[in-house]
Amino acid sequence: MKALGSILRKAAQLTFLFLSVTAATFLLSSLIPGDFYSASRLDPIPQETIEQLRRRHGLDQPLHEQYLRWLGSLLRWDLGFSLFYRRPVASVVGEALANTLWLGLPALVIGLLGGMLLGAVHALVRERPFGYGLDLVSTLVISLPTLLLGLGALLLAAASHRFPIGGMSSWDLVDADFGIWLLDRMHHLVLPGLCLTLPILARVERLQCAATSSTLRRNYVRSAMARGLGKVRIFLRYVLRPSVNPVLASSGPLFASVLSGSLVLEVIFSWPGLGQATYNALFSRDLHLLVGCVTASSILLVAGNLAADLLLLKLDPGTRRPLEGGS
Amino acid sequence: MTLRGAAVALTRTTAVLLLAAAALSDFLSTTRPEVQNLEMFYAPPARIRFLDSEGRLHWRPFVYSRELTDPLEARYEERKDRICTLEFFVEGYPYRLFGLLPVNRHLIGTQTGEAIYPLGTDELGRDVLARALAGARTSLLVTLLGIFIYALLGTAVGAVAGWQGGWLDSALMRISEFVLALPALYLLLALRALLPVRLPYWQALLLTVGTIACVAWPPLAKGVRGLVLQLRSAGYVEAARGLGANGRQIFVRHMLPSLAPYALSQTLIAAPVFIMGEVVLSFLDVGLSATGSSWGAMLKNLKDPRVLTDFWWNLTPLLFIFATLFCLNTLGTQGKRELQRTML
Amino acid sequence: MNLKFLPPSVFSLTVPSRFHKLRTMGIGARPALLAIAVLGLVAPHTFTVTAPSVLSDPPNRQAVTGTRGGNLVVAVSSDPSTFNRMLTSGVANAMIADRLSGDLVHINRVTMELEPALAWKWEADKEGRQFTLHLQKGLRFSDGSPFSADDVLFTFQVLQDPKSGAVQAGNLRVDGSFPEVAKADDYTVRLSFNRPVGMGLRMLDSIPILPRHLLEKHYANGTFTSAWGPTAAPGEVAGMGPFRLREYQRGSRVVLERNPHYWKKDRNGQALPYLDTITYLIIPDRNTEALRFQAGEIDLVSSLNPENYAGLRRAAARQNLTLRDLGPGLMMDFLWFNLNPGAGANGKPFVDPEKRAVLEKAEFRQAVSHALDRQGMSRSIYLGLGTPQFGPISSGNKAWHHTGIPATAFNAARARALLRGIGLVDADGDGILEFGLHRRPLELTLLTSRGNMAREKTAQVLRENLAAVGLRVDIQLLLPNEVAARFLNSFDYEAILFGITPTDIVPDLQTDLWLTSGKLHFWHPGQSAPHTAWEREMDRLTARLVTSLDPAVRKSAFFKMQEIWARELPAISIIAPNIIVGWKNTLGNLRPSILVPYLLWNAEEITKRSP
Repeated sequence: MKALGSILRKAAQLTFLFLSVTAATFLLSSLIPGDFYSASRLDPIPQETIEQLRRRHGLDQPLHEQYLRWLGSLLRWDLGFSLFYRRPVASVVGEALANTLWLGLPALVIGLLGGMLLGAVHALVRERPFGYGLDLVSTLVISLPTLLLGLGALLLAAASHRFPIGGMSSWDLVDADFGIWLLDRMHHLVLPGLCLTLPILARVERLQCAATSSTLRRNYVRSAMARGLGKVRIFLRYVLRPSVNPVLASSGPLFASVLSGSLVLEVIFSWPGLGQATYNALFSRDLHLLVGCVTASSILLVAGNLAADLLLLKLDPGTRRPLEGGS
Repeated sequence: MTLRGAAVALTRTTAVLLLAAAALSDFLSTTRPEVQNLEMFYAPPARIRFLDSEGRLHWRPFVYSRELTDPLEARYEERKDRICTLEFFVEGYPYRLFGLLPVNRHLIGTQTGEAIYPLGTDELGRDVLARALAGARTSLLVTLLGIFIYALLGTAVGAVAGWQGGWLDSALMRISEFVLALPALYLLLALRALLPVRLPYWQALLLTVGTIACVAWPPLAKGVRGLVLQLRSAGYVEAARGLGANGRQIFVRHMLPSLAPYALSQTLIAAPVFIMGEVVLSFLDVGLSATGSSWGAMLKNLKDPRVLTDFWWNLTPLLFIFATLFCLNTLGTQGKRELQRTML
Repeated sequence: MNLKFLPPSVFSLTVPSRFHKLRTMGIGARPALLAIAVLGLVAPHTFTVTAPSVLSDPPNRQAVTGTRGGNLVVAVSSDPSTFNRMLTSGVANAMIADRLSGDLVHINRVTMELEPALAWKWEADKEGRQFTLHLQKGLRFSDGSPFSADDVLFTFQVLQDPKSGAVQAGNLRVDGSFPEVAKADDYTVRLSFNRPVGMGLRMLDSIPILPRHLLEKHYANGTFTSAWGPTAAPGEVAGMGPFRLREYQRGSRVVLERNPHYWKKDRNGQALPYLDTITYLIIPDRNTEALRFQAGEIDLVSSLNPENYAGLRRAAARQNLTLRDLGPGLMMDFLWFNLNPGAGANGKPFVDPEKRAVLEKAEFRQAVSHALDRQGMSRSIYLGLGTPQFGPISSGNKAWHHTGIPATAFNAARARALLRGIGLVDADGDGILEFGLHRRPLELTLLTSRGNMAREKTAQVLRENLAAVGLRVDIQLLLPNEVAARFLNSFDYEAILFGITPTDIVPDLQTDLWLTSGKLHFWHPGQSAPHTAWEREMDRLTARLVTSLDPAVRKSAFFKMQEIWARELPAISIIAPNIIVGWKNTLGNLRPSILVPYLLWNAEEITKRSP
């Protein structure tokens, strides 16, 4: 019964989030003058045709009615129609989301695990040359704009002929079996994936290093040391476990940085993901598509947060109480 | 120990140099940062010489004046017959030292007033060094402001949510989820559209940084909240509570010492976002300003792939950014250590 | 086939001689036989023929040779939103949809003359109001179904219906109304306009003839706009173009295959197109496109920016690439000031009246033009690959550009003198001129669209140039649609920098710009009566231009318009960027043009030698 209640509560929260974010997006878009058809008057298109198009897509309606209409169609599992792509938003966003996950999930997993490992090691060797070296390298990686990384990687690909220059698969790969297809996809994934992973890795490394070194100074660690327990055992049990928590707690939002990083990288690497769709929606003032993209990214973020919460819960029962009994 | 000492010394020197660069930018530059020279775009750094083309040694350093020979490749040829001797403390364009003293002396310059371009020029023939120095002022200010807003919002919301719990926690977390899910780019453009069409550069910058900070704080808040929750159930806090300490005491004495270092390191990790935000926004063509010198605005020309392959001196701002972040990082680590020492 | 039998004139591109035709008849070319039959029927007619390249037989023979086969790989910047050419305006869409569709008459992108296409010949009546078009017989759509006048009639019906959302409909409207379209017989169509049309049938270029049998039901059901959308199955899309749709993979590629029913043949009687397929790779970033071209993954690039050209030039010789600078294109950036005396909904005037009084003075705009260092911009922004402009149309438009117009070239001293002449002086010595009763500093806000690097740089140089003569300009970047909304709908701006791209060289299609009543009369659109004397004169000359049938009269009218424009400078043109194209040397029959899409317009003739 209690579980049901908490599920219901979570569902209510998600609904509230969804409604507020979509309403905000509608509102924001109305603040910017012009709409999808503003520039089409530069074409030899008659005025009455534009009026017709506006009417057909409901752009002539007041904002709240557009929003209510959109919500109404949502009940029929219809996210609206993208004027830019001229097909249903659900299909555009669905595909884009899948493509972004191809890029983002490996980057997130590798960045998270690799960063935790490196960060923990870093905390142990902080005062040694290796530690300072890691400090320097991670600062360097963090200060490199994703843009620079991406462009550099692209130029590298062009110069070395080892990697494909953008795209998600080779165009001449037709009717290949799954193995070949996957290999080709991986090949295309290497460079943009690396550019997305490195900053995440550096950030997680920093977090983990900070968390670990502050745990190292805790009294219970000191007392464990004093008791003469094995160093490795202390590290794994008393240091690593608790210091993973703050990192995990902030790993959900790493999805946000994956999304913003992929916004740039998808444009550079011709990767048809959510970033590209958002960019197109933004520039062509395609409202429904934009709302779709925003919704998709909020779902990603919420899912990321949820996953992080669950992990945290599993690893550290101390946080269970407020999570279960919250509100 | 000596290694740490060296690192600290290096950091301090760098920080002092950066601040000096920001404060003395006009004195250190040879040309106004915003002056364009359409005959000298993407000119490489000037070669400072002592030996002239006939092998004569000059006791003062000089540069040859240069002429554009091929606009497509941005090639320049040195005019061997036109020598510009470098001098110290020469008269140049007037400016206000520290924003107060009207002066017109510059550290280095030519007697004739000819521009030297010690670090080359950018796509419109502006002095890269002068722009980077002027950018130091803007970008440092922006970064500090950004991380201040970020840290304040994030820590406050996170601590209150974690400490108070209940409906407040719930509400704050919903708000932070909402903020996190907002489309930052669109928010920026919409806010821009709300403001009057005419927007001075610094206001645009403020808007950019403010928006980034206001959208970026939820992760920090979440982290802080998590930590507060964890600490609340920690043995020594429960013990303190059992001994009758009141909430404020517990918070200040037992939680802040663990909280502050965490918030500090988290904030430092977010610092690059504020400098780099402008670059990303420019690349996605949602940067707010077309003019003005800041490191982010300078890196806008990364869109031209030749900057990476041929005109590398335009990456100068990256060096400054790296130096700044390195300083912030090391100073932050040190500060954290101090915090831990004084508070524990 | 023997070259000496070909006529020496007309660029040896399209017109096979009668003699040539008779020689090939024996080999069994059916269209040639048909042509003789048609010739017999319509030979004695009373119409005057105005079109310069009207033929006496169907133009199905092209003076090209090549080898069949091969796949051409090109890039487009975004996913296609439709395969219906009638509904597309973006370059990316048009690049694909144009290959799928055929028009009645076609502008040859190199000679710029009108050429027969699905209508193999046409006549105009003496007044130039009524046109009779003779359609080729025996042609088929790419799905194999026959083509006739009914398809043409259907096309015009759809085109004129606002509900169908046809993008090109405006071109067909003359003085606000569409022509009457009537079918004389199954292969003859009459177009009647309500006034003489000086430019002839040029507006029919790129208007796709749609297959009635496929689209009529969609039109009736109101699903016309979505019928050939990106989700359409390849079999549902058919046209009269040289290619047809084979496959579309979102975010990745569009593949077209040769249309086996296409009507053009090469000099040897071989059916065109030569290519088996065209593969369009969807590549949003232009740098990436250039890199992939350099790596040999793409066969041609239609429009290179100067930066990428500079990078590619070094690799061109090594990689066996041809790069060509076609000189100034038709696109130009214009700077204009809001001269609209009206007021917004809240009663506030669009521009401060005192300020507008300054902007309205021709001397002010001349001074601004004199202050601009166009050479410097061309050098630094376009790396020397741009041409300074002073009139309403680009000097790349060789046929219509008036070289004798007064050039308000870079002269800061002259600019200052002109500004002083209209009472703008800097009394307080802060470097900014003051205006009006209260001597306020003259500061202007310039809006320009984001996303175009060259334009953003132009705005920055412009700011610096104008500061040098005492005018303070603030640049504000807005979304392209936002800028458009401001100068087309709300009119609340002071100055705008924006690019205009004409689709054809003839000025007739830009009457919305010339006429005071036009919606694209940017500085003050939709005037009920001409606001100034020179605008009244422009209106008068425009009327003469578009109605006169005499090329000399048309030309002199438009030259006068350019003179007025260059003097009054209602919109100040800055630079026409050069068009730069590139292709692999293994390709043949490429004939680059300054009209969009620069290279692919004769895709049916492009041939690929196996390396």
